[in-house]
Amino acid sequence: MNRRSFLVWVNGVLGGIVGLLVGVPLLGPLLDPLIRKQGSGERPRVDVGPVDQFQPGTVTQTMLVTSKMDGPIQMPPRPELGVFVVRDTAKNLEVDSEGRSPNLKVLSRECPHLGCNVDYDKTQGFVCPCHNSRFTTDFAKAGSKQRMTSGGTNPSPRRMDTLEARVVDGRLVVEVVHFRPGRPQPEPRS
Amino acid sequence: MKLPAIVQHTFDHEIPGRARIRYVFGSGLFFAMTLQVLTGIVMAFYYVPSAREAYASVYTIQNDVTWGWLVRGLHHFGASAVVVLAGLHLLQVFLSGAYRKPRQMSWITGVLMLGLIMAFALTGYLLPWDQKGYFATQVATNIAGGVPLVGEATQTLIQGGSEYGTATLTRFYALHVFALPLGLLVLVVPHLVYFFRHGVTAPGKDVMSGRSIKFWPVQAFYDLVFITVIMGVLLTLAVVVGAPLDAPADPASSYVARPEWYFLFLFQLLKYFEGPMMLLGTVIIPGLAAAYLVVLPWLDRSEQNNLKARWKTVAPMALLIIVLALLTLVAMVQDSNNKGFQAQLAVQAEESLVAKKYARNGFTAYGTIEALEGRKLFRSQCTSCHEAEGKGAPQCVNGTCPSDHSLCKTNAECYRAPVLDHLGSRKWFRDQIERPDHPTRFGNILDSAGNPVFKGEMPSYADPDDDSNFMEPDVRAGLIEYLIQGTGRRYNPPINEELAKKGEEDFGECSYCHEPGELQSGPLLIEAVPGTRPMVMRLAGYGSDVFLRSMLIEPGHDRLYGKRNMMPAFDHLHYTQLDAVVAYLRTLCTDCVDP
Repeated sequence: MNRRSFLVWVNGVLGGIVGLLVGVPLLGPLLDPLIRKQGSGERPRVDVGPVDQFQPGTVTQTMLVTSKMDGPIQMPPRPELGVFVVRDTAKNLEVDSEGRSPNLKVLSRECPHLGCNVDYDKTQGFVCPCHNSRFTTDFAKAGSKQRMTSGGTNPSPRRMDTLEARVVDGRLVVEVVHFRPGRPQPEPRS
Repeated sequence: MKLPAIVQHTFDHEIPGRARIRYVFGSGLFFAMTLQVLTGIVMAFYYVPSAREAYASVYTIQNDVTWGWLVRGLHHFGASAVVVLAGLHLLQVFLSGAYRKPRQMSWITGVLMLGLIMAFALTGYLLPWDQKGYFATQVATNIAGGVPLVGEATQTLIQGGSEYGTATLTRFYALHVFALPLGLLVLVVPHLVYFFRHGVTAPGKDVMSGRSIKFWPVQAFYDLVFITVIMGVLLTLAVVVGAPLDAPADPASSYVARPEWYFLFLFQLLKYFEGPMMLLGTVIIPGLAAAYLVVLPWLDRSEQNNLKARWKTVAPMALLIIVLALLTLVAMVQDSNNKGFQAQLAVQAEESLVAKKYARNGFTAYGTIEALEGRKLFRSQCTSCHEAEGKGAPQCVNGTCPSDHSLCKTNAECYRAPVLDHLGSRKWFRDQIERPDHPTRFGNILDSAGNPVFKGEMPSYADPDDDSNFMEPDVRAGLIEYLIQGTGRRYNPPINEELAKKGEEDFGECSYCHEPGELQSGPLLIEAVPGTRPMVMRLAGYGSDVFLRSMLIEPGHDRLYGKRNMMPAFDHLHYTQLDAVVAYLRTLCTDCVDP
């Protein structure tokens, strides 16, 4: 190896070292969302009010209000997720020992297709305004893709997502979960 | 391998004679500036240019983001590196006489870029919106405002209004990350084009030798070694020293600002001019120095490189450098000999540590650190009666009290309300049970006629000689365990449920005077029941957030201290201020583990 090719080799090494010393630290902040654990991992439970406000045979649109951290900032309570509280026609609300009721369902408004907020209309049922995903109003099969009320294509890969809800001291408490859109089965977003 | 033309050109450019160490500064400067661009872009992924969120976002970069502290440290020390390298580069170019024809365009663009570098430093300093940046930049913009005729308009333009706010921050941000880099780009292109056209200015003997070598690989080796050293130094500084972050900007605080070290000469210059002469120090002298650098190519038209032959330009330059160095040195020496300033620095350092500690619980939606705001409020509104963390009421010197404590004779008598250290902790309740009449508790609370309000009302339950009231230590421990449940907070060691249960039973003894009520978290104040029995609230009770907030708003409520209350109501405070004071008081609990 002559002097020149040795220097070229050394230059390459030095250039590589500097490149790494500069480049590697920059990767930390850039990849931070993948590296750092976000949030507490706990799913907040939200009180949406007295359970008797949801009358038999009704669909009520409401929202889950949470107080979250936005980066370093503790945000005051703000709406996080729109939901429908769907109650079947049975007069009496059955509640088991754990607070679960077979007469009540809480559906996330986030469309399982691509996450737009689904609307509800008495005649049309649940319709997503973005790509016309449709979900039946039939309580027993709410969200059944097979029981569409009208023709046309239905791009939603699954039923509307049901949220964990319990009756605690006469109030309806709902667990806030977001599901990944586009999957055939509901998968919670971690 | 075929290289891009510009790289090939760089590699192949001819250096007369031989490679020299003295040619490395331009490359070093170019590297340092590139590092600033890269670290700056990465920080822009997190930074928010708003008066409310800037500090919180920089705090996050510094404390939360993976290696954020490292990137910020590189950017912080990189800024100093740019200034140092620009200075060395300028000096080297000057000494070799490279500012003269035909290289005058390289020189002038270089001098202009030096101005941009200073503008980068100035605008970047404000962005964290911490005390240091805020007050140091205030000085700079006020200097601009002091210029006759155009000053006020200039200052308003720079600040985006008559005072500092988000408009100032967005302007500084836009300048720092968009306008100034663009200006740099516009200048660096001709700077380098002229450089490649004329090459380095080699010493006479190198030119005379008639030989020349290519940049690659020998000169490139020198440059790379230099760059590696720069990067090594910057990394070491970033890891070992780290970028500073002061407490958040507080316009009402007494903060003594100093500019970054490379602006100290300007700072020092200001001390020598007063009144109308100030303009001389702020604008005219620095302006003349800058103008001298710009016109240098036309002042010196000599053909010789010999320094002696060029004394007419070398002498003023040497003078300039000596004056700069002296001013900087004098500024540093004066500061280090100034005991008052050093003491203030220690206070400021402590403030930033406190801010950092409290900020771990997050920022409010207003971007404030709640407990820090509460601490300021407490120290301005509460310390004429209460004491906490060594700040407050008595402040007796040699047993003599301040004039407003006319009744005080001894140190102990200077206390006029409970000392709030340990509020809500086990110690707080233990002290209350064991020595309620102590001057630091309720013993010294006097009514307007100077008579004690509570003294003698509640006995000590820890006095073995007092048969009728003495309680065994385990009984007291149970009561304490029962009472701390009322604060609604978590403790370390955690609450002993068994002991607390026993305490609840034993509390029956206390209910002759204290009503064991409950205070739910919903309504601010519970239903009023006439009476003067001070009440101890269970569950969300005494020492809880609701209790503390209620004490601030209506301490004379029947369920609090009723007719015996001597504390003024602070119901004029904004709700964020009430929350802030409560957040601060929470920090005083020494065995609580929750924020």
